[in-house]
Amino acid sequence: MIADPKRLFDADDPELSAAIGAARRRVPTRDRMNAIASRLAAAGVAVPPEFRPELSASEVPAALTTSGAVSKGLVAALAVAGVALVGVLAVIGFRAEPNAPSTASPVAGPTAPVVDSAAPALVPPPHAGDAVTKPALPSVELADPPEAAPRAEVTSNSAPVAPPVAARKPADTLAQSEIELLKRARSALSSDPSVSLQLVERARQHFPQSSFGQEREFIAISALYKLGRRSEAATRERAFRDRHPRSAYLPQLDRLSSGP
Amino acid sequence: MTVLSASEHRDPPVRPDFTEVFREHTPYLWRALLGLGVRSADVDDACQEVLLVVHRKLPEFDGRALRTWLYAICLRVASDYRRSARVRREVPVESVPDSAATYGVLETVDSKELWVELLRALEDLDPDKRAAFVLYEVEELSLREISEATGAPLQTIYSRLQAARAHVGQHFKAQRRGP
Repeated sequence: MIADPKRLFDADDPELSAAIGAARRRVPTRDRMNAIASRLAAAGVAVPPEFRPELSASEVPAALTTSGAVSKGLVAALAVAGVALVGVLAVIGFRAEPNAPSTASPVAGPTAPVVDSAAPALVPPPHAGDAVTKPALPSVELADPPEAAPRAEVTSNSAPVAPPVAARKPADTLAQSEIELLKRARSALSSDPSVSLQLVERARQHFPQSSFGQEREFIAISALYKLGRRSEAATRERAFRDRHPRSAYLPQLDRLSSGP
Repeated sequence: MTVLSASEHRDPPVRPDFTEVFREHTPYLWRALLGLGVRSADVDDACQEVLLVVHRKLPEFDGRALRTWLYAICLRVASDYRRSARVRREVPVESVPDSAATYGVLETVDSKELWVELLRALEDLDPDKRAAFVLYEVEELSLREISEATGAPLQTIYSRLQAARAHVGQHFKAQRRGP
C-alpha cells in the first residue's frame, strides 16, 4: 500500500509552499459565480437562490403582476439591495473617520451603476439592470435576511453631514472599503495589535455578510496571540479550524500557536 | 464488516442536491480547471460544462466519494478542452485569472507571482502528470482518490506525482538561479 507523501505545501521549500498556497487561494469572484449560475439557469438548471439571476428593473413589475406574489428571485434582489444600502452607510462611516481610505466612488444616480475604477477588474461590463441587481454581496441567504440593527448602529456613527448617496453601490466598492480596513488591521499587527483587534471588530460590525471572514478572523487571532491573550486566541483558533479545515491560514496559525 | 477508508468517511453515501453541489464545490472545480490547463478566458465555460454534466448525471451518482466523482468530471472536461481546436498556448502571465481569493485578498504581489510561476511550471508537464500534481498538491485529494478519479493504478499516480514534483522543483530552482 502506498502512503500519501507529505504535501509540498507542508514541505521545507518555502517558495514552493507559498506557490501552492497561492494556487489554493484561487476561487472565482462572486460575479463569475453569478454569471455561471445565470447561464445554468438559462439552460433550465436550478441554482441556489443566492446565485439566482436577479430580475432587471424592467422585469420587476411584470414579475409582480403575473405571479401576484414576489418571486424568490426578487426577494433575493431586494435582500441584496438592502445589504448594499447598509454597506453604503457603513462606507460613509468609514469616510468620516480620520485616515480612513477614501475608496468609495462619487455619488451616482439611482439608475447609473457606478464602476469603481480602483476595484479589481473582476466585474463583467455593466448592462442595463445592473444597478438593481449587481450589488451581489457574498453569502446573502434568503433564510437569513439582513437585519436592520447594523443600519442603526452605523448611522449613529455616521459623521457630520453625509452627502446624499445613491441607493445602490457596486459591491466591489463596498468590498474595497472592507479590504482597506483589513489591510490597516493587518499592518497594525506588528506595531499595535490592539488596534488590529479594534479594526477587525469594526469590520465585523460594518460588514456582517463579509466574504473576508477568514481573513478577519485570522487577523484577530494573530492579534490576540501577539497581545499574549493566548487562551482567548486558542479558543478562537479552534473554532476557526473547525469552520475552515482547508484554510490556507492554518500553517501560519500553527506557527503562531507554537510560538512564545 | 466493511471497513471504510478515510475518504469514504468524508463522503458518506448521500446523494446531494445540485444546488448544494453548486454552492459547495463550484469554487474548487473552477480552480481545478485552471490548474488543469483551461485558460482563464475559457474557465467559466468549462466550469459551466462540468456543472451541466454534474446536473445531468447526479441521479446516477451512487452517493459515495462526491469529490472524486466531481473531479473525474473535471478531468474529462479539461481533457476535451485540450483536444478542442480553440485551445491555443497562452502565456500564463497573461492569464492571471480574475479570481477573488476570499481569504487571500490581501496577498502580496509576490504570492501572485509565485502562483503564475507554478502555472508556468505546469505548462510543460504532460496532462496526466499535471493532473496528479494539481489534484494532490492543490486540491488535496489523496492518491487513492486520484486513482479513482483518473482510473489509473495507485502506483501510476504515485509515479506521475513524483515526476511532476521533480519537474516543478527544478523549474523553481532554475528560476532562483536566474537567467
